[in-house]
Amino acid sequence: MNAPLFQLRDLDFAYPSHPPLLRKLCLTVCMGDRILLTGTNGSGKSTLLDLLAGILKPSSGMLLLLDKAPAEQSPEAFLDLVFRRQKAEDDLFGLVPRHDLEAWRLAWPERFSEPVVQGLKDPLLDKLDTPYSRLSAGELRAFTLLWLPLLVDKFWLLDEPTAGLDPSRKQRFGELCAAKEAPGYLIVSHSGLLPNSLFTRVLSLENGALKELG
Amino acid sequence: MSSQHPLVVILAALWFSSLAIFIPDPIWLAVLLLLCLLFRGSLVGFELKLWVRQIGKFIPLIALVIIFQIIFSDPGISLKGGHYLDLSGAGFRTGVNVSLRLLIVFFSAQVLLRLSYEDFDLAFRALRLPEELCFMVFYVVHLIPAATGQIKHNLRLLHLRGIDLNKLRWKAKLQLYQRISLTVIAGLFSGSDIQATALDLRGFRSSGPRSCLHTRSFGLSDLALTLVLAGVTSLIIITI
Repeated sequence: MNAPLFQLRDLDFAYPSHPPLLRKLCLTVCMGDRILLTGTNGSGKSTLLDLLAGILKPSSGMLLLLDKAPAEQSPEAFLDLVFRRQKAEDDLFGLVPRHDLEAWRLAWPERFSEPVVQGLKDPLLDKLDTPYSRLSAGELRAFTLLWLPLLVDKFWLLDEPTAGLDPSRKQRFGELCAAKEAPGYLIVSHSGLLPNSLFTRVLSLENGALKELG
Repeated sequence: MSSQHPLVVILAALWFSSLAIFIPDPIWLAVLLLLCLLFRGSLVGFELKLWVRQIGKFIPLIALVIIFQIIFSDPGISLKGGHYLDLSGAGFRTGVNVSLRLLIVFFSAQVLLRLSYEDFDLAFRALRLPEELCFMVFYVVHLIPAATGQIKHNLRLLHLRGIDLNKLRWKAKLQLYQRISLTVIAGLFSGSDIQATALDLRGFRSSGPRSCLHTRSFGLSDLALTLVLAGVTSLIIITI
């Protein structure tokens, strides 16, 4: 379970016409790790997650997801990952949550079968056919996390997952993380929003460099 | 974006794409393509690798256009006569013309895409045209790139879920494409609505004289570009 999932060596990244954001990053993320990634606004946390998901490509250096660069990996390599971006709208497929559910069902037909989904007993299930444009920011965020209980055997890469959630959903998310066995997760969040007991490693990203805090 | 006034840049882009449609001579079209590339390069840099990649993407389309024109055009000078097939020399020429036109329109549109909203605003203000028109034109210019971006984003969402479109059955694949296209169209409509509201909230269409943060005057380089375009236009008119 502790096999390396991501390996970064001397990774540099800069957006076009901008100064370098990430410099010489070295990091190994294993399947069993439970990582909290913190840092000030604009320090590059979300960018790092986008690099891990293959949405962005490093300017130089090595980045591997299993055995290949994430951007070159086949869809199958992502079956063991759940990736959630900072903006909830960026994670939801289609026009209504049902389209998103059906996309998940294509990847995992039995896991997302109707009886299993109804078994979640979440009030949000009544809004499966409500267009995203009519859902609040909090509801959109909650929809991006709604399927996590069905994906506990995946490694989660979550960018500020509790932003916009009401206290009860925040608490449920914390409980879900606490109950999650390996594979673990890498969560981007500002320190203090989630209890430290949920993590085995705390990383801080400042001035383009990663620091292991504990 | 450059030392050129945005209005001159827009007019030059329109000049290239208009001439591309009206000029019938392939040599002039080739010259126009070259000028268009120089124009684009002088504004945003000579990104040769990008140009080669962009032209490369056009090759299948260009080949298809030329093949169809050779086969189906009125024969003109027959390239190779046959009982069932008469390959057309005129068709080849038309195919080359259409391909050159496509490339010119594409590269001049690429110049417009590099202009920011502020650039469009400056250009429309110079013509004393209302800001509503500026917003509409800007939105339309960016419609196709925005739609392309959204399509890629939706395909990436599926990729990140481990869904390999190539391995899906036709029915599932069609359903996904249908959802993606609906999402993209709806996104473009709602996006324009949101942007229009955001502009309204910032005093867009309010009464009184328009103010602006950045102003720009026409310079010598604008005059030089205008003279070059006028000169080339005269030359084309004389020679054709």
